[in-house]
Amino acid sequence: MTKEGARYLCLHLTAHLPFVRHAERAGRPEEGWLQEAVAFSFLPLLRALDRLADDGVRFRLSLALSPPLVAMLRQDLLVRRCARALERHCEVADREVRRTRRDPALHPLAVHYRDEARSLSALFSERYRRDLVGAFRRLQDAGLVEIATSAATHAFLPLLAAQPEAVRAQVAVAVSHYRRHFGREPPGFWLPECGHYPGVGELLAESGLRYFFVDAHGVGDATPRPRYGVFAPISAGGAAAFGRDPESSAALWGSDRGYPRDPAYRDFYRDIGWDLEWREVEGALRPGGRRNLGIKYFANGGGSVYDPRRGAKRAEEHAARFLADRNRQLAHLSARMAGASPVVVAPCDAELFGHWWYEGPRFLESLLRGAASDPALRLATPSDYLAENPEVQLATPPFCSWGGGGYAGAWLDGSNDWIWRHLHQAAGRMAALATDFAEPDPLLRRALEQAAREVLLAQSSDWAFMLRAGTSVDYAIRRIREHLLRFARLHDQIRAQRVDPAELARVESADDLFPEIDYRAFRRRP
Amino acid sequence: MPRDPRTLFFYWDHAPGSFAAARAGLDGARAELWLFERGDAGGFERCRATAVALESGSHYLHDLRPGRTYRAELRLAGRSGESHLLGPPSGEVTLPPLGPSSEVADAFARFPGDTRPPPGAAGSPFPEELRSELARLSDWSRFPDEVRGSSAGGMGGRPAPSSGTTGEEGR
Repeated sequence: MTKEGARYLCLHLTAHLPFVRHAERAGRPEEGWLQEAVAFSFLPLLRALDRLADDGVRFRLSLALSPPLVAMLRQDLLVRRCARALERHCEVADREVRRTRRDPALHPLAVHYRDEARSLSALFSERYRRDLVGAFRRLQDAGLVEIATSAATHAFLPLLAAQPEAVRAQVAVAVSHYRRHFGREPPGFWLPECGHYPGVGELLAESGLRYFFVDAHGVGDATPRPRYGVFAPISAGGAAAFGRDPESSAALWGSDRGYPRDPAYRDFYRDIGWDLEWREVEGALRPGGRRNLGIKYFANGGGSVYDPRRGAKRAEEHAARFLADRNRQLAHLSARMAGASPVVVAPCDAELFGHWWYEGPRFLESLLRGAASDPALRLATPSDYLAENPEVQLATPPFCSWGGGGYAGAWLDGSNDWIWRHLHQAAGRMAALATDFAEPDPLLRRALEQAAREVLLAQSSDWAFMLRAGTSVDYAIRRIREHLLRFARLHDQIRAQRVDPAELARVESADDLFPEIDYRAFRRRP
Repeated sequence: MPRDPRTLFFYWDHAPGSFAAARAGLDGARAELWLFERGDAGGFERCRATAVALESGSHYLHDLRPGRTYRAELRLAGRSGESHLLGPPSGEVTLPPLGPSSEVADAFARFPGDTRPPPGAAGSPFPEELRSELARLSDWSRFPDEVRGSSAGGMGGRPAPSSGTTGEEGR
């Protein structure tokens, strides 16, 4: 039944990291991405959400966890390394307490970080027993969080559109991976980088996925022109597209006027890993060299020392302001939607909360607490909205994304365009293998499965992004080459039906995600 | 491949043999990328011929028309105007539109399940001024100074990883 006039706020977090696992050597800086995300985003977020749950707050939040992230969070080796990184963080914080003991301005903050480091380490090992996927799953099973999936390796799908088998495989592998880890069907899909092209909605609907997200112009430029702008979803090929609201997104993400720039908040960039003399942090930085250590003494906008209490208070003020602004916005919209129910959709990178915006988890906790008891609006996931508002306008969003100028510029320019011919060729050859080898023997099947993994790993949007951003360029090139070369060797061995078991075992060991993979996801359709 | 509403990216690979075959009989052959645009009547017409360096293996074509469908051919052209196709033509690619659609046809389906509107599902009339206002409120142009966000360049961007340096140099 349609609840006319109800007003909805949909907060959506999306969490992704590329699959990085180097069993051969601990301490690779790229593995630090996961360790930083765990320590500074996922643990603080889970702590905030569990505090709400423990207090009996009935909130609703949607969250996409990308398959590579889930896979890494469930890998014993990487989880052990995360635990060790948390211990090292405690050691660094202890050292800072000692180093600042005669500095009355910094010492209290060093003590704060030491306590925080110990709290996070204990959370990881004791409350969550090193299983953050399980912690998120429990929140979903409790009816508080709705977890969506994303493309198997976070491929930027619009640039794979010419290879529909590749897109189908990205979706199908993600869905089966989700079932394995969450014990149910995924309700929706985070299009990596909100990358949409006409036709992808049909592929998602084929796999039972009910919704996805696009940036504002994905709805604004849809055909035919939608009636309600981004304030109601549109149905594109059988899946619902929810449009990102610019107003709420600007408040959270705006580069100049967004909340995280407030002078009461911590300055992300003033980290002791960069600020201190080498001799003072050498022990923490070896191996790997200069990097963020997660201890930052200064507030935004100048040289004033950061005050966590002031930051927390401002986060609560911002949460109250955000909620008041959404109520005002929704009331304005409701009066203009002729009885239809407006929804304001605010999708964000999960790493914004905690990692980039230290006070973000406090903001989110305060916002969810306030919104859950606000009679004027409803916190809702996309599934909640669709269940209560099943009449959806038919319209097709265009080719679009939420970065790179709104289209594909971030993943296709002079720095990274060379990769696409190789990715397309590999996807085409994988589709041919999957089509030609219907009944392989067990060894050949393993080779086909690993070939599929290698193609998927090469397609990760992160590599193209790094090439363009100029960060970790050598690593990105190495990863693309490695996966494509491994695929090429497997391809030739499969075609010749002479698979080298020892080589296959080595590659399986190196790239050991998606144990449930079915290479037939790449099969060509008649 | 479409890059944005006005830009297409083409890449090509060809065997030396196909180059030699295409060059046969041509005087002073040079490579050209021919672009064809689908007209309103449905047929394709050539709209551009751009000299390209074959060795580069790729080329961007800029300043195209948003929302239009294109295909391309890589050709070797001789001085006399004759040309030979080098490799197969590209597939058809449609550039994304830029700005709101001129098509207004409100049709609603019941979700999930319906992918086409059931009979009589056109919805009641909706005032154009409200549609325009809701579109304006949906538009990023109200926030001209703000980065859009996203992991592709906004505040939520991927953490800049270590450069792997081991010395004392800072950022």
